[in-house]
Amino acid sequence: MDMISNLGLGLDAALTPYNILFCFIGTLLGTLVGVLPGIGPTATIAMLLPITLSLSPETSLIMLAGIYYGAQYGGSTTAILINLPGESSSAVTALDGYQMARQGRAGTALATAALSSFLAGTIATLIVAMLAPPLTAVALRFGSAEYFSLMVLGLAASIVLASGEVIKTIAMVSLGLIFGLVGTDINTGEMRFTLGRPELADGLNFVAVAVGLFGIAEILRNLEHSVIRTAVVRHVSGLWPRREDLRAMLKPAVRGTFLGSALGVLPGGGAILASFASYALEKKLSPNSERFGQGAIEGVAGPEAANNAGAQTSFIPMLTLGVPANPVMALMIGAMIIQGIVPGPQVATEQPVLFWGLIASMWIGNLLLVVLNLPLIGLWVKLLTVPYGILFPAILAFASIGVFSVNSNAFDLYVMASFGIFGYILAKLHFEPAPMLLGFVLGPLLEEHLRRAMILSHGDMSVFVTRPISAALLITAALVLAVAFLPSIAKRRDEVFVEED
Amino acid sequence: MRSERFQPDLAPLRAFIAILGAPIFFGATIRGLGFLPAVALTTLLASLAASSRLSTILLITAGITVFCLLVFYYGLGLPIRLLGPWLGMLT
Repeated sequence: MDMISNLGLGLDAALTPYNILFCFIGTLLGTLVGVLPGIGPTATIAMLLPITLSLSPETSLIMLAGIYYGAQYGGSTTAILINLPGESSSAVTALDGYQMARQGRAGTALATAALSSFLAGTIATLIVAMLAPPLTAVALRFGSAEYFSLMVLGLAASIVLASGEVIKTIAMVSLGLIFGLVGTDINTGEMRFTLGRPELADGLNFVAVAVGLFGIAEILRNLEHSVIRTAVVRHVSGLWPRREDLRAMLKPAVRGTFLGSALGVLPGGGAILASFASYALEKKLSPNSERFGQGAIEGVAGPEAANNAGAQTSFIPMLTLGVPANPVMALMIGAMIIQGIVPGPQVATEQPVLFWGLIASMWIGNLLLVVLNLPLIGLWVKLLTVPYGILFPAILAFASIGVFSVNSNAFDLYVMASFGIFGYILAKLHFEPAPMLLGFVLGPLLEEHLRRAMILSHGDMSVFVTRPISAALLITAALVLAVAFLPSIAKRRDEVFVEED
Repeated sequence: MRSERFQPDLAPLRAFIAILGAPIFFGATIRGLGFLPAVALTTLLASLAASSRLSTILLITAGITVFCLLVFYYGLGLPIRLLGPWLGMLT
């Protein structure tokens, strides 16, 4: 019954009017930005992250979680209404959701997405609450050698699960690790890669890098063409699904939830695969699979549930181990570090209110999504007709003010602009920026644990392979990397990610 | 698809100048000019990235500036001067 009392503690923390307000604002802002075509959850969170930093740690993480769910739902809305998914996970929703919208069932599709997400969110919150404490207990026994090996595994997994060529992804992870080296060496005080600039002594500002890489680069990409956005629907009606629709979506949603929950826990971005896997599963199980791609409600319910459940359970490695499972979690960890919280298993024991408050707010965020976003759907539809010309100057102004306010440092804005152009070049050359961000966040942690483990073992490298947990993690990492280079898998990857952008 | 000559689709030059120039301009002037003028001019510069009529651009700029003023200056109470020392020299 520990779980119930813990969740109660969390609900207590999350249910203060102040926190609900910011969870709501986060959900609203997340939906607002997420609804913009071509902007996925990662970019949305990167753009809105600076706003949350002036809040207390609990409130800011709760608001960030709200932004995350809002952004995901906003992405689904865009996918359904105008067939422009913001990122790969909602690409699957676009397949059948857009067809439903064209058949005049946009309202049903949107409600299906919201309700499946809510169901998945409810179950996944319980899964997180159940799995987090035992995993935390295991993680507390980890030493530096185990942490090092775990992060190697996380980086290896992110290489396998990212889209695009393996070799490019490895290059990006390495580049991220190198960017993580910039700044003062903690052991010797030596300046590394600071180009003689005193502003770089503390390293590259994480927020500036993230906003530049995702936010600014995204705006530049959207300005390539003057996109004429054609929403198939101006007015959404018939929001509430009929009884037979509800029946048709229930089972796929439940299956999607469990599939997504399982994939979301994997380090390195398993959640990305959740919606694809669920879609494939539903298509296989359905007696009339030929309807898929022509507006099958199961094709919306399953992937949406899987996606949301995966999003939720991807908090597990972040909360218990301090290792981000995907770029969004990397942003969360970045936010925690800025707030002065060292992510890892000790968070659950030292800051129980923050830990359980965040878990409880996941469910509240999901509830707010359904309660507030479905009635507001008319507003979001209208927003799709707002010209981009109004939106991007606003985003740029928020980002500039936000990045500046982190450290009151003008240099960070130049970093942001530089990473903006860099991110744009990467996108043009088909390099994924997400693994780089993961490397950038994990780099300093990886280095710290490597050096601490080496000091403890008096410079004996064998410590990583003689400690059993560490050895097992490293072997898994090696296997994962080997799998990535298998030709048959490499071919499958292309198929899985063919939907992207 | 890959075999053809590499010829990427690029954003127009004015978009690059405006979008990358805006944060750099903001960084260079926020202390000197203060919050209000820096935000207004940054937004103005950014909105020049896409071609629209001057009246639209000015309207967007005014709206966003007022919004930022309310949210960041009055709402979140950022510790930045509203009008900076550079403007003091003029009067």
